[in-house]
Amino acid sequence: MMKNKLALSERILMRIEKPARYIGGEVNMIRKNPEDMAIRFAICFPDVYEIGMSHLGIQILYDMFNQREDIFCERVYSPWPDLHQIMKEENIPLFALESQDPVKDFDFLGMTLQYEMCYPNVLQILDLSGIPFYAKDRTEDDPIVIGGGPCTYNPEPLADFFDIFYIGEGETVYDELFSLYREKQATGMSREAFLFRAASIPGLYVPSLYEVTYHEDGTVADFAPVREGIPETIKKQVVVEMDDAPYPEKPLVPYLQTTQDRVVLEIQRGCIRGCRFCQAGMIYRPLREHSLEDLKQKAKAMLEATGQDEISLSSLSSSDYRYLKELLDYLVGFKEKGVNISLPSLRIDAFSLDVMSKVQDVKKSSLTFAPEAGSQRLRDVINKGLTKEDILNGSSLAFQGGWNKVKLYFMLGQPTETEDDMEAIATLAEDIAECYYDIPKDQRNGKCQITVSTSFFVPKPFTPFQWAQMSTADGFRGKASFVKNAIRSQLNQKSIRYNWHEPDVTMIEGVLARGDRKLSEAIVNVYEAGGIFAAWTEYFSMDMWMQAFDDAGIDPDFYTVRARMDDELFPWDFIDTGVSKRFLLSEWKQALGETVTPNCRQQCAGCGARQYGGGVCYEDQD
Amino acid sequence: MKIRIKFEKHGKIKYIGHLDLMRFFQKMFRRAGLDISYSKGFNPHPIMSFASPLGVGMESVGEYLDVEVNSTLDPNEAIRVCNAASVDGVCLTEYVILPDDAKKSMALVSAADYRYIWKEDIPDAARQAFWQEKLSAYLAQPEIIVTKKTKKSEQEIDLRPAIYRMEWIPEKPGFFMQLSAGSVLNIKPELLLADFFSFAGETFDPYSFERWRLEMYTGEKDALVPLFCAV
Repeated sequence: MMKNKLALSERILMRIEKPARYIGGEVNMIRKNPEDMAIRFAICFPDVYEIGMSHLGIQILYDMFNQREDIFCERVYSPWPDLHQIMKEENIPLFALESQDPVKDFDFLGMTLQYEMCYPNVLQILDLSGIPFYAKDRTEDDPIVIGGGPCTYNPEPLADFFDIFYIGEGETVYDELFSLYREKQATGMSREAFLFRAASIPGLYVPSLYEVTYHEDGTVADFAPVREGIPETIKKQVVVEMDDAPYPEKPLVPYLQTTQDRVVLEIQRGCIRGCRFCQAGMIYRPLREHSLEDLKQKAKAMLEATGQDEISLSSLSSSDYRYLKELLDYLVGFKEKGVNISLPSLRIDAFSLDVMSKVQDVKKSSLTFAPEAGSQRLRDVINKGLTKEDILNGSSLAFQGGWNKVKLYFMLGQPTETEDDMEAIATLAEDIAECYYDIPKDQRNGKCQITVSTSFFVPKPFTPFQWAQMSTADGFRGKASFVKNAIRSQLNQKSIRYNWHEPDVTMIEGVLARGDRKLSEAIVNVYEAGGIFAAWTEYFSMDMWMQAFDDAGIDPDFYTVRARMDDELFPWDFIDTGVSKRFLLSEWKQALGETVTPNCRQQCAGCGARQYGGGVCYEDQD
Repeated sequence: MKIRIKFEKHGKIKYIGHLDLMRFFQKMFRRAGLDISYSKGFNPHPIMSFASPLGVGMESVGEYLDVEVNSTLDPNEAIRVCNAASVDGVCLTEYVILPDDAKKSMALVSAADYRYIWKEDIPDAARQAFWQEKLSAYLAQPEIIVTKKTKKSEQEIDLRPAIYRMEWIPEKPGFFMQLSAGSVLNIKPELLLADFFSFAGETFDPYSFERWRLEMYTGEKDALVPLFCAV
C-alpha cells in the first residue's frame, strides 16, 4: 500500500538533483499504517536531507516515538532550492518521507533548531506545508508546531512561529504531551485549551502565553505569563540515567552519502570543562556518562543492524570519558570485520597516539588541537585548560611517531583579546613547526604541515560570555588579516597554512543568537526575499539580511556590539537551565580577572546543575 | 572465491544512483553476514564490481554484480539471507560460485535486453498501427547513422548492426530491444528510441514509458548466453 506511493512525479524527480532525498524507503525505516494511528508526528530537520539525516537527536526521537503503538513519526527535511521552486510553482504540498502524505495532515510538526542560520528554512517548511507562519493565525486544522534543540535556549526570535518549544532533552516529557493530546482528541478540547494545559508540563514553553515589555532603550523590561496558572520560568529537562534513555539500536541507513554516514555512539552528554564561550558546555550540564557495558552492547547492535563500515564516538570531550580506553580496545576488535573507527578529537597524549596509530594511517591523518586562543592569558580568560606545554609535548610525541600534520583551531574576537593574543597564534604554530624540525632530518617524514583555522566568536545565551560585546564584521576582517600577516612573518611560514571565513554570516548569527521577539518580522522578510539555506555560503546574502533588518526597523548592532549591564534582563532569562545566572555572572567576572575555574572533577564550582540529582555531581557518591 | 549475483532493482529504488547502490550492497552484505573479502589497508572495502551501471530512473530484472568472498553459504541460503537484509525493490535472484579464473562480468557483457512500455499517452489502435509501420520502415534501412555523445567526444556511428532485435510488443504496448552492450559498443536504448521517434516525426519522452532492462548477455550476437549461465 505504502510501498510505491511517491508525492513527486517521475518527471519532477528526474528533473531535480538527488531524487533519493525525497523518496524514503531507507533501511530500518519505520512502516506503519497511518489509518491505525491516533497521532501522526512529522519530525523535521530544516536543512537538506544529507545534513538532517546525520543528526543523532532526530534518530533518537524517531525511534522513541515509533516505539509507541499509537504514534507514527515520520521525517521531513528542507527541499533543496531546485525542488522548492517547483513545489511553489506547482502548488505541491510538503510531505513526509515515510507515507509521502502532506505535513499539513499531521497532528504535530516538530522541528529541531540546531543553528541560527536555519531560521528562514523554518518558515520554508511552514510555507510549503501550507501552515500559517504565525502561531496566532493557526486553526484547529493545523498541526501543533513544536521546536526543540540548542537554539531553543533562546527561542525568542522564533517565538511567534511556534506553538510550543520543548526546552531540554527530548527523551523526558513527550509522553505527557501525547497523553494530553489524546485527551484533546477524546474530548474535543480546543487548540487554545490544549496549549494552555501543555504550558504546565515541565519544560514546555508556550510563547503565546507570555508577554514581553521593553524599556525605551530596547532591552527587556518584563517577561510574564498573560494568564494565571502557568509557570513563570521554564525548567530544562534532562535525562538522569543515560543507560536507561531510549537509543535507536536500528538507526536508519540512508542511500545517499550523508555528512555522518556511519554509526554514531553517544558516550556521554554534557562536559566538565566549563569553557566560557561554549554554550553546549553549559546547557547540557551535568555531565552524564553511559556505562561501558551499555556502549559495547549498543555499538555491536547498531553495527549489525546497519551494516555500516564505520563507527564514531559522540560527545563534547571524549577524553573525559572514564572508560575510553576499555571502549576503544573493544571497538578496535571490529577492525578485522572491515569496520573503521573514526576518532573524535582526543586530547593528544601517549594513549591517544597509540589508539590513533591502530585505527588510522599515520601518514595521512593529522593531529587536532583546539586551543581556541593563542596566548595563555587569553586561554585563562576563556577557561580553556590546554597549555602550550600540552600542545608542544603532544606534537613532539606525535612527530616521533611519524605524524607530520597538525590542525589548530582558534576563535578570534573573544573578550579582552589584544594584538599580543593574536600574535601568539602565529608563534604557537611556529613553535610546533620548530618542534618538528628539531627532529634529525633522516628521522622525519618530509616537511610538516600546520593548518591554522580561525572562526569568529559569537556570544551565546547561557554562557559566561552572554554579557560580552561582539566584534563588528570589519573588526573581524582586521583580526583575520592581522593573524595572516603574523603567520607570514614566521621563520617556518611555508609550513603553516591559514584558513578563515568571511565574517558576515557570523554577524547574523550574533544577532539571532541573542535576539528577541522583535526579530520575527526580519526573519519573515528574509524568507520572503528568497533567503533559504542561509547556512550555505552559496545561498547566503548579506545584503538581503541587512535589507530585512532595515525594513523591520531593526538595528543589528543592538544585538551584537552593544555592551550589556550585569543586571540586564535577557530575553532568555525565563528559562532555567539549572546553571544559575549568578554562577554565569561570577564566571564572567572571573574571565575578566583572567582566573581559571577548575573542571567539575577537580572541584565543584557550584553552578547549580547538581539539582538534577545525577551525573558527575554525584560521581564519587554512587 | 568469486561470486556472481543477479538481482532486480525496481520501484522507488530506481531513483538511487549507481554509486549509492554500490554502497547499499556493501552494507547489505554486512547485515546479511556474508563472509566478504576486504581489501587490505586502513580503509578496507569489499572487492566488488557491477556488470554495467543502470541509469537513474530505469528498472531492471537483470542486473549483475561480482563480489569476492572468503567462504560461502549454499547459494539458496545466501539468496535468502541477502533478501532478508535488503529493501523493497532490490532482490537477489541468482547466486553463482565462479571458477577462480572467471572474467569479471563487466568484461564479459556484450548485449542487453530492454523493454519500454507506455505508461501514459497510451497509443490507441490507429496509433499502434502507425508505430508498427514506422518500426518496420526504420529497421528496413541499410544503415542508421546517429551521433553518439560521450563525456569526451562526439562520434558518428551506425546503429543498425548494434540492433540485434527490435520488436513491437502488442499487448502492452511498447518496444522490446536487444542491443549491443559493454566495452566494445554500448548502445543506450534511449539513443535508439530518440532516433526512431525522430524518424517517425515524433518526439521521444522517456518519462511516458516504463523503462526496464531485462537481461544481460555475453557471447556473439547469434549465441548470446545470460551472464549467470556463463560460468
